[in-house]
This record gives sequence, C-alpha cells and structure tokens, in this order.
Amino acid sequence: MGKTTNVVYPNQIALLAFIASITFKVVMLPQYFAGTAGRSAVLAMAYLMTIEVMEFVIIYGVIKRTSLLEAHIPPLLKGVFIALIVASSYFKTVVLSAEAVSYISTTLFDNGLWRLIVLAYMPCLVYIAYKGGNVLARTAQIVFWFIAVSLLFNVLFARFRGDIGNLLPLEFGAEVMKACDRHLVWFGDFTPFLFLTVARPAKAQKVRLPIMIAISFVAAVGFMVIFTTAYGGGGAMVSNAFNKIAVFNRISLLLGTVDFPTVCSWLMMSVIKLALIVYGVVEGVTYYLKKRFLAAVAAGAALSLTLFFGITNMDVSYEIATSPVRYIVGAIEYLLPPCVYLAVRIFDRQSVPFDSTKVDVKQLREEGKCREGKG
Amino acid sequence: MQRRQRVRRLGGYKWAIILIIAVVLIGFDLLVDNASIVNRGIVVGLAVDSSGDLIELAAQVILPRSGGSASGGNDFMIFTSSGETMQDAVEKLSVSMGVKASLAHCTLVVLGEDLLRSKSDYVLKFLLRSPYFADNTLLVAASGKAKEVLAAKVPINDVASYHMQRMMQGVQREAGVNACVIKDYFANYHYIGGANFMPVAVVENCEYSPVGPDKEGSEGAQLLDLSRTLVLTREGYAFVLDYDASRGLSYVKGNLNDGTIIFVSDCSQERDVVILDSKCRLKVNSENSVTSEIDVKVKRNDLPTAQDGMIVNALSTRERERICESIRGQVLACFEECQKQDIDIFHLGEHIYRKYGEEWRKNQNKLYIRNIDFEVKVDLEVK
Repeated sequence: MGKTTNVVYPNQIALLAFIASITFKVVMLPQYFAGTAGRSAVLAMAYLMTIEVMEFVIIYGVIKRTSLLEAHIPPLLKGVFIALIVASSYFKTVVLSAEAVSYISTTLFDNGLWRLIVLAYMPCLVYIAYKGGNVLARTAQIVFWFIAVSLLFNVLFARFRGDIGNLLPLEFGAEVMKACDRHLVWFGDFTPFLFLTVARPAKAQKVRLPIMIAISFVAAVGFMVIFTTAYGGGGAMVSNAFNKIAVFNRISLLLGTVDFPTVCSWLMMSVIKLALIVYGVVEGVTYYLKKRFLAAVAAGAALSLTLFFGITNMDVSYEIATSPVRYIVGAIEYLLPPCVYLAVRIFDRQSVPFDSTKVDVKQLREEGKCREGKG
Repeated sequence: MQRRQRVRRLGGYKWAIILIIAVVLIGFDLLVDNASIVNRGIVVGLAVDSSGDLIELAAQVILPRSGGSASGGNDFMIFTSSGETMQDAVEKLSVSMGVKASLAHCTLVVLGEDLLRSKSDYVLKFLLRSPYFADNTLLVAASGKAKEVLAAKVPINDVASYHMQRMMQGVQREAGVNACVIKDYFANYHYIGGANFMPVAVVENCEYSPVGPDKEGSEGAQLLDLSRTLVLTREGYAFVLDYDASRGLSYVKGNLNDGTIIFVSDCSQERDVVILDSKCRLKVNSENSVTSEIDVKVKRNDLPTAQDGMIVNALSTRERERICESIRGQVLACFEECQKQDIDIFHLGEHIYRKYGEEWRKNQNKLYIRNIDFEVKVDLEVK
C-alpha cells in the first residue's frame, strides 16, 4: 500500500495532466516554433502532442496499478529510474522556471527584478511539492475552475482578426522535424506522475481522463492555429503568446496592455505545473535521503541558486534548453515510461490497485501513511 | 504517537514559510520600480527620427490638469530625447520628462524619412518586441521629420497623434488611407516578397484658425494629409505611391466604408458617389495569373429626384461603367507602379504560394512579380 500523500483520483490526475501539458506550450513555445517551422508550426505542435499523449497513456498504465516508489522491482533498477526522473525534472524546472519568471516580469511588473521573483516563486513551489502528490492534485482541482472560466471568457469574448491563409501551404517538411528536434524539452512532462498512484474512486467521477487528454491536445494545437493565423510569419518575434492572444478584459495599464484574468489564470497553471516537476525532484531525492523536509529544502535551494546565478536571461535559458542535453532529457521522458511499464509487468506481481472504498483511514493514520485529512 | 507529534511540530514550519513568503512579497513590492500615476508621463504619440548615428525621439505626452478642470480636457507637451539605441533613447526620454515615460497608451508611432531610409528594420523590430507597445500601434511615415508631424497644430483638439489615430482607426475607413499596425507590418514582412506599406503624413498649412477658449491669438492651424502611401520592402524605404495608386491599394488591401468616387456624368459634369462598403478577394487562376474581385457598394451623393414617376438623376449604365473603370484604373496604377520596381505590393506571390506550395516557390526568384498577370474585376452595387 502506498502512502496516501501520493494517491490521487482519476479526475485529479486528468486536471493535473491538462495543466501539465498545456501551460508552457502557450507562452514562448509558439514563438520558437514559428521561428523554426514557420507556417507549419501547427504540424510540429500536433506531432509532439501526439507523442506526449502516447507517453501519458503508458504512464497511466503504470500508475493505475502502483507507483514507481512502491513497485516491487529490483532496488537498483528502481534507484536508476528515480535518479533519471530527478535529473530530467531538475533540468526542466530550471528551463521552465526561467520562462515563468520572464512572463511574470514582463506582464505584471515593470522590469521586475528576476531574482526577487524567483525568491517569491520558489518557496511556493517547494512547499506544494513537499506536501506531496495529493496536495498538488487538490490544488490543481481548486484552481482549475478559475482557469477554465478565464479561458471560457476568452473564447466567448474573442474578437479574432487573423488570416486563416497564414496556415497555407501546410507541408510536413524538414522544418517541422527540426522544430520538433529543437524543442523536445517543452514536451513529455509526465514522468513525475510515476511517483503517484491512481485510486479507484468510491463513486463515478464527472471529469473523464480521456476527455481531458483530448481537450489538452485540441487546446495546444488550436492555440497554435490561432497564433499563426493572427501573426503569420511575424509570430517568430512575438513572445508571451498567451498574453498577446488573450482578449477578455484587455486593458491598457501603465506598464502595458494586460489581460488580468488570463495572466492570473496562467500564473496558477504555472505554479501547478512547476510544482509538479519540483515534486518529481523532491520525491526522488527523498527516496535517497529518506528525510523529506531536508530533500525539499535542498532541492529548493539548488534550484534557486541555479536560477540566480546560472540563468540570467531568456536567451541563456533557450540556449540550455536547445543544447545537446535535450536529447538526454528527451530520452528519459520518452523511453523511461515504457521501461518502467515493462519492469512493473515483469517483476511486480504483488501490487494491487488502490481502492478507496476498502481503505481503513484510521489504520493508515496509525501507521503514519496518512498525514492529511479528517478520516 | 511520537511520529504524529513530530509531524505536528513540523507543521509549525508551515507558518514560518507563509511568513517568509509574505515578507518577500512585501519587500518585493517595495523594491520594484513601482511608479504611481503622478510620477508617470503618459505618451500618446511617438515620433522617431535619426540624426547621424543617433535615434531621436519626440513624445507627445498628456499632462493631466490637477483636480479636473472646468473646461475639461488636458494639456499636451512634446518632450525629446536621443540615444544610440532605441532602448537608450526611451530611457533618456524619462529623464527628459522628469517622470517615467509610460508607453502603454502610445498607439501611434511616426517614423521620419531619414530613419526609414537607414534604420527602419531595427526600430520596427524593437517596437514589436518591446512589451510596452501594443500590436495595434499604428505606423505612419513622415514626409520629412517625424517630430514636425507630431507637432502639427491640427484644427480639432490640437493633438496631432489623436487626430491621425481617428483618421486611420476610427469608425470610418476611408478610401486612400492605408493604415498599418505593427502586427500587420510583420505579417506582411514575412509574406513572399515582403512588401509593406504605411500612410505618409504630410503637414500643410491651412487658413483656418482654431476658435474657442485659449485659442485667441494662436497661429493658423495645419492639415495632416494621409492620402499618399509609402511602399517598403524588407530592405526598407522604396518609394511613395501617388494619390490614385494609394486609393488603388486601399481597394485591394482594406475593407472600406467611406470615401468618394468622382466620375464624369453623361452630361459631362463631375459627379461623385459615396462608398458604403468595399471588399476585395484575390483569386488565383494559375501559377502566374491572379484576379482581384472588388465588390463596391455606393450611394449617390445627390438626392434622387423624380419626374413623371422616373428618377432623373439615377446612374446610367455608362456612368456605372465609368465608376468601375475609375476603381480598376486606380488599382492597376498601383500594381503597375510597384511592378516597375519589382515590388509585389498586393502579395500576389503569397496567394499563389498558398495554392501551389513549394513547387511554385522553388522555381521563382526575386523578380517573380514581372511574370504575374493581374486582372481587376469590379462589381458595383448602387444603393
């Protein structure tokens, strides 16, 4: 039986998957894609999203039975898997945090200081990661409706002015594959889910996982379509796409045009998304150190220092994200889930799915496996 | 039990962390350059010129009247600065104003002729990348120095930047005024051929003198004419279209709902009709043939009069043909003028590329516009 801090319901994992998938694909990535693939950027997005969905299906195949932490597989193999997830998550956190900090600095603060934003941001991420998977999932569940309403308003009040012809001719050429190759790091962010276990809910849930995954796919590709039709080739110079495309309640502030509902909803999404990959680091390090608090503080300090001194601006972040290290990260993200799946299928014949209808909360609490909840 | 106590003790850290975050956020707010409205100068129009290696800025700034004024309205002033780069010049603008220059409300940028001939690419890319300028910021080319355009004393409101914004982005979209915003500029820039356009602002003196409070003794007003259009390529300044060609461009590139078409009536008199609506669609016929289909709705400018139940001043078939011919002639004038310079102003290459893809593009060079046959079909509807 896994610790209940890492047990989540299918609807929670659906919302988490949506946020994890979409958040960083609508900010800087459209600009990067437009710069590399031009008008075929939509195809690059669709191609990599398809692979990401496939990756998620494999991961879900593992976690609906057991989490990597609780799986009965050889310790050495498990240790290697966890180390790889920690390394990949750490790299992604550094790259994507830089993007989030840049977004906040540009849209909310008038040249706000990069390091101060890191100082405000990192404790929040580390705290959620420290609290564990089900706190992360519950937070996602709470903020999701703010995000959904904000996005809905954007759709309802859209005054779209673009040229659909900007998408033509749609050709799957070498540029598409080049764009996919260069921007691997922005895809396949589900490996921290391997530390979670999906519980069988006591009653049927409204949010369906397959529907949410389909919505994620449509949202990412649809956003790229809107971006390309609005900006055409000029998209290669348009950063913070999500803020530019947003239309609801757009007002001109003293520091620039800002769409507050969109900015705030994206900030919530970014906190959840980054907390998820920081959780990947914290949970993995905890496996080795055994002391969760120490692991969280160490991870937070290391990430903050890396962002403080290693990543001074977005150019450095992009350079690192598109360096050859991306192949290692890509290999971890896409090859590790099938390996874990095979390992669990081969070695672990004891694990049974977590059934919330058959759990004795009192007993779990006595055993220290349930730290939260009122029973 | 011990474990639960330890966990409870650790729970105390939660409040410590919340306290730290709160302190960081408060400190953060104090440390950030968070100038209030009284310490900001709201720029409504910006003129950019070049002088040697320097970039010169002139910003038209609102000076809010304190406590609100009985007469309403605000005062405007022009501040200047110069720098080696745009960023440098913008920062020095704040120094010149004595308050922070706030560019969020600046929806008009006038570019001087010298600058357009030398540094237009750099300046326009700065405008697109800068978080301060909106995508719908209007671009205008000055015939001469940009700051002179911004300083023009227009009859209404005295503020040139507002006046020009109304001419280009108001409810009425007039034939001949080819408005261009930053977003459209860069979309055009990346099309096949990369041709671009923006209105040319010409300041002309007029005999009219502004009247009203504070206007007595003021000099005569000036007119701002935007009826000619500058054509640019990716390399920068190309040439200026004349009045007719500018109108031709607006029929193809814009959706119009204002302006007049002058024609010669059957009685050899000059008459005009008012444009109600005009739309254009480019139809690609083959790899080197494109037709422009323009649908124009007009109404007579003179009231219809009846005699024996018949409208006597209705447009005859020949008059309609003359109106169509006038539009066709202006569109073709624009095309031919640009074709002579090897500029694809209507982005015909882009439309052909969308239909035929790479197969078409790989066989083309920069002079592809020479081989394209362009036809104009005008469908006129009189209301």
